[in-house]
Amino acid sequence: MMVKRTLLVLVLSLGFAQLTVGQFYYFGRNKVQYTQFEWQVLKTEHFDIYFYPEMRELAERGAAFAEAAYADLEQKFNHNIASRVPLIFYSSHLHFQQTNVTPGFIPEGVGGFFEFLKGRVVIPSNGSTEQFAHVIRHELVHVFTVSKINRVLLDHRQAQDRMLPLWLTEGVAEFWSTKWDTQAEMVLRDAVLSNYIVPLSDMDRIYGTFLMYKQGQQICEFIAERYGPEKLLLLFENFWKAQSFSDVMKVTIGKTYKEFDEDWMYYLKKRYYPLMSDTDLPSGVTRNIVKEGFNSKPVYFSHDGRKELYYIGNYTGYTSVYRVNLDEKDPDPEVVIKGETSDEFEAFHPFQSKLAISVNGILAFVTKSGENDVLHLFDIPKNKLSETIRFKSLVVVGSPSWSPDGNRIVFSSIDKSGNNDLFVLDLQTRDLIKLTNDFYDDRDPAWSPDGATIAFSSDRTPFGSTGSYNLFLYHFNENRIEYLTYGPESYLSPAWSRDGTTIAFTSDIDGAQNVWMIPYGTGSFEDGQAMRKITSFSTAAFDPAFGDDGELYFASFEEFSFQLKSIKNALERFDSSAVMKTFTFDHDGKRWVPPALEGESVIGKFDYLGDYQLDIAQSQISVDPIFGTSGGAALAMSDVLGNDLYYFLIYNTAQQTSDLLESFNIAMSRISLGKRTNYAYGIFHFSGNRYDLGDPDLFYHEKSFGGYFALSYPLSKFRRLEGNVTLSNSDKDVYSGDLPRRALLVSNSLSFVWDNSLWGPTGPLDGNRLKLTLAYTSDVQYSNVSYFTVIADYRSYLRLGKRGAFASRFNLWMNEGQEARRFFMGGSWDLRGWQRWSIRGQKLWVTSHELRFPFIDQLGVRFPFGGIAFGSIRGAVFADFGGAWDRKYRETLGSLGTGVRMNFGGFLVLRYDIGKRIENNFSKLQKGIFHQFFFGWDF
Amino acid sequence: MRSGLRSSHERFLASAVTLTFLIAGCSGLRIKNSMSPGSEDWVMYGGGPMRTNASQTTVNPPLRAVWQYNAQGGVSGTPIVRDSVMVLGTLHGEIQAADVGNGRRLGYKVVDGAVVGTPVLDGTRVIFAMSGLQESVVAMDLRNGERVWTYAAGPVESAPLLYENSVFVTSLQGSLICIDKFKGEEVWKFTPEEENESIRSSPATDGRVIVFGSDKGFVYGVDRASGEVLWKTAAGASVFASPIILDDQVIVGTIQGALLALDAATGSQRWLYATGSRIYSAAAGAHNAVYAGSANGVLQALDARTGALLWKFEAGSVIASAPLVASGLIYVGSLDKKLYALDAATGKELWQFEAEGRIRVSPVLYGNYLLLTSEDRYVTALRPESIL
Repeated sequence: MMVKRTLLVLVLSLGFAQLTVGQFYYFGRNKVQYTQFEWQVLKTEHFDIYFYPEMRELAERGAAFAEAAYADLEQKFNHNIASRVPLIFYSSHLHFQQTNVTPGFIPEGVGGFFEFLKGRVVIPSNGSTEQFAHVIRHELVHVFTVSKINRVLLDHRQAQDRMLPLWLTEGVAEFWSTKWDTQAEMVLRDAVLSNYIVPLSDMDRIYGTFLMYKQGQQICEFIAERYGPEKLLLLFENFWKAQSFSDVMKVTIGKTYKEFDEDWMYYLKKRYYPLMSDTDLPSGVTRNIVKEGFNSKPVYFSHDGRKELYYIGNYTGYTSVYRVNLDEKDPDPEVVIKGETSDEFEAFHPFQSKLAISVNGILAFVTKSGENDVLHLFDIPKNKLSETIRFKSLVVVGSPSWSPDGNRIVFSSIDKSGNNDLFVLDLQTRDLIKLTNDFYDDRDPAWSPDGATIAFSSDRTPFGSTGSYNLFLYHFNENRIEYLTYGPESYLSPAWSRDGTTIAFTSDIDGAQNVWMIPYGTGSFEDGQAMRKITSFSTAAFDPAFGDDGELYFASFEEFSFQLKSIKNALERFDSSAVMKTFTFDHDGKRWVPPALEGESVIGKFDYLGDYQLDIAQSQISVDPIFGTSGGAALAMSDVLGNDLYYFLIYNTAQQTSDLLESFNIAMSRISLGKRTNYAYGIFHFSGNRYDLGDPDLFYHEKSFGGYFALSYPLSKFRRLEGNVTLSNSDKDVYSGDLPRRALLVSNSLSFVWDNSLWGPTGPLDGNRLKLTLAYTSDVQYSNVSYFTVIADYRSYLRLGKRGAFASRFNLWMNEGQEARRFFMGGSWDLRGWQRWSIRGQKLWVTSHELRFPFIDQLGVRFPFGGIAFGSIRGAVFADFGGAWDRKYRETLGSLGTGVRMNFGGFLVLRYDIGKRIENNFSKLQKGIFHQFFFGWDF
Repeated sequence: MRSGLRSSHERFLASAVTLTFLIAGCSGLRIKNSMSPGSEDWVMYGGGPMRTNASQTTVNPPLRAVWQYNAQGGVSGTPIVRDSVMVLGTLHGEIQAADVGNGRRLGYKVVDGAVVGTPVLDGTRVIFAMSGLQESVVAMDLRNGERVWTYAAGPVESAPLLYENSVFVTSLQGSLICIDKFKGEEVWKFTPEEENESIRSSPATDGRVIVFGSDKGFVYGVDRASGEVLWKTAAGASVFASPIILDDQVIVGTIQGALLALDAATGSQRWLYATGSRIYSAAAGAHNAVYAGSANGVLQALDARTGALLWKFEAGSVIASAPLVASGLIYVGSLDKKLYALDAATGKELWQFEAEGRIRVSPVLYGNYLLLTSEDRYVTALRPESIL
């Protein structure tokens, strides 16, 4: 559904870096490039648009939207963009998730992003043409904002070292790209009426959240309305005037943050408090079925005398299918399908795709699994997955609905073209029939109880050009589409009553999305059937679903969460509802057609052959008391799609002129990420003094040259194989007086990596991580070196409640053979309390066990001149054991302790531990206690 | 007595001292003792008190760049010129002078704030206003770089107006101030009743009335002698652009794209032309025609009496600066980096020149030099190829 689907479409532009970038890292999930895209380039007046042939029409529409947005924004900003803007389009979110423009994972809710290293804009379609246009406009506002701010700072000869506050960046991007819609209204109403609205002066408290985005949009609306629309432009143009943006506000609109808050808060209260006289918050007038987490898409099922509600929920960070027993007063949710930890149920689309249960108790639901979405059938009576159906040509699948006989399923789907159409799958014949075939966004199909009709929501009315959805009926026998509703509002999520006489749906016709109903079978809708209002919430209701006793189930928004509710006697409410509306169908069969740039409007179309640009160019001189002076430079370049990366490193460690030539250190690498098998290769020449961490006495000069080849093959998002071959000619001269050692080393390694862990603010809280490595290193010329390596590293995280976990780690590292290198441990990474890297051996084991629990949720300190707050401080109680040896096992060491961890800025974790060291095979506690500060994530 | 500097420490100190003197020398502003007035002078924004952006000089295209001056920072006001000395203020806070003949810098003076609006030349003095500080209006003697007087008008982002013995300044704090040009003393001050009514529109005058627009969307006519408001007309939207006075009419554009013609005596509206875009810049006018650019890149020529459209020309991007009318030609710059020369009668494009960067400052004419300011911090002198 449009509103729900876009609810979490946080059009994030910056910094959604994930913790678990896969390739070439120790652990981590994999961003799998399943699909081979044949990229082409569409050149328009201001844009280079990258697309693949299957989505050509979508790209041409996107080109028109982009040029129209550009023409509008250059007027609003009084500015233009000096260089061509690369726009990279994907026809679906699943394709978008494969992009290499950013190395991080792209969450389900991200609707597009602007990357300002190279000024690239990356946008997927989600089937909605209007939403595609909206995201293009939104991201182009970011492009203009960054360029404008840089221009302003440059003009005043100020360092380009600061950015606008995020509330303004995102707020103005929404304000200038879309209208104030029901979704924005829902969030603001709830924030004011539930009393969690955050003043502008305190906005850092919700930095980067969806609430901040919507508050930012509202603030921009308010500034434009109260102080004048030109003030937004002046906020950009006055940016140079003060370091504090509160002061910039003061010189622009005459109000500091705090002064502005007085106006704005008063305005919000005046605007929203009166709503309480006519509308209700959902919790006050409904039965609360589920109260925690985020929950959506309820579907009712009764069997064996039990009444159950199945839904998609997220309590712990993993999205799963849950059920509750409706006969219980406060039912506990039970996991039916655990999602997002396995290849099979890789990801749900919690706000997009509903569930359906057949007359036989077969639960149909959709997950991403591998390259595309798949349709799963789960037998509820047998409590097992009966089938998983994959489609060759369909990428995204949504909202299945069963035929009344349980033999067919209707669903919506996006193929590579980016169009969202309706399909019917016959489970007996396996025939797949396409019901609609156009660019209109057809969604939320619901099969009628008599099997003759499918109700669905679509933007195919003329109002669709502004993002409005109406309801339609597809009559099977006549192969005809009939209007059910008609208006500039949005009508979504149709659901049939059990007897087929009524259709429930949501509508935002009165400013908030509520449940409405309309009778069916009593005449033509175009003759003027009236719909009636069933709920009157101040916030929103979603996904109505009938029970078999007249109870109506739905999701609602309140206290910034989605919860499941129900109301009794829905049909009686319909009869008694005094709020009704009759439609006037004056459409004349007209539909809307979006503009497209094609033919003479574009400069040209070309196959993409690679467009490389510099990413980093940096030179550096360093001075070290031991290693002397060295100077060098590093360069990195990549293509516009991020598929090919080249790295060059050159530096010289010569301490005197005569050493200059032989002291060059050069490395060149190429990394290819464009295909499913990622690989890297390169050559190197290194020369200089080295210090072997594996042996503290070993200080030597080494000259080596060679090459390497590495590959990574992701089996799925969670598992991969890694291989590496290195050939290196090493000439080592140890300063301790040993004879020089020459070797032609060949190293081979093969690894298996598995990671489905879920991270909290300071480290993993759920899931597992495993790495197994086998390697062999030998000197193929002089036979000076020959050893093999085994590394086994398993980590398990047992969830205890929502925020606690018991974490365990088991490590075995082993080198065996001639000139085998030593491993080392000690310090906060492994054997805590022991001196860093003080325990060395060719064999090493360590195991750690740690109870992780929430300690302090918020710690605030307020000074006379301002305040500072720390959040999410976590506690830990731990025990570590381990030992290291070469030939003969020495002793087991260990430590016991406790500590606190705190996250700074989302990327840095400060840890403080105190404890006791244990020695002598875990039999003796050392005197005193140790203290350790460390910056790093929990294992 | 030491024969030389013996230590590296001493050598470093000596170098630093020498460098300090060199820098101090560079920052001086000393031009010749007199700046003789001439008929081709362009001494204030718009070329004169009525700001019509019209010149009697003939400079026929094609033109060729003869020199380029690097101002070292952003420039948002036009250059002003007298006796072959070009003066300009910069956004990084300098008053600079250069020789129009060769583009060489004659000197510069660091001032306290960004000089957003075009300064004005009065004999050997330059009067300029700054943004971001209270002591914002300054008269400086170009012969020695010394301040003659300073007036605390608060932040100013418009161009001062010089008429007879008075300087008129509009301020972001919402006042029109008349200052004695000799003493720097306030003669009168007019502050509209509207609260927080910032003014970034530069004032213009026909000698009787001072006109300007405000952020709140009003156009004011104020008696030049007394400072009494004569009329106030609602423009319907904020007015960033400076008005011009053409014959007995005030022509001004609004941020919502309306180009208004008002009776200069009464403020009553004579006509309105909707451009369909935003107007950030002043118009130009001559010979019963008005030329106004808008943010959609369109330059429209209108009949000054009726507001009827005569012709339109579409540039490649936003027109953010006033066009220049010169002997049957229109020169107009756009953010597309191009300066266009058009036939004033038909709007036909005759010639174009691509500058270093976006053009958001109006071109000015001095003799047969066309001085074009463009991003990134450049003033380019163009001259007709026919005389080169």
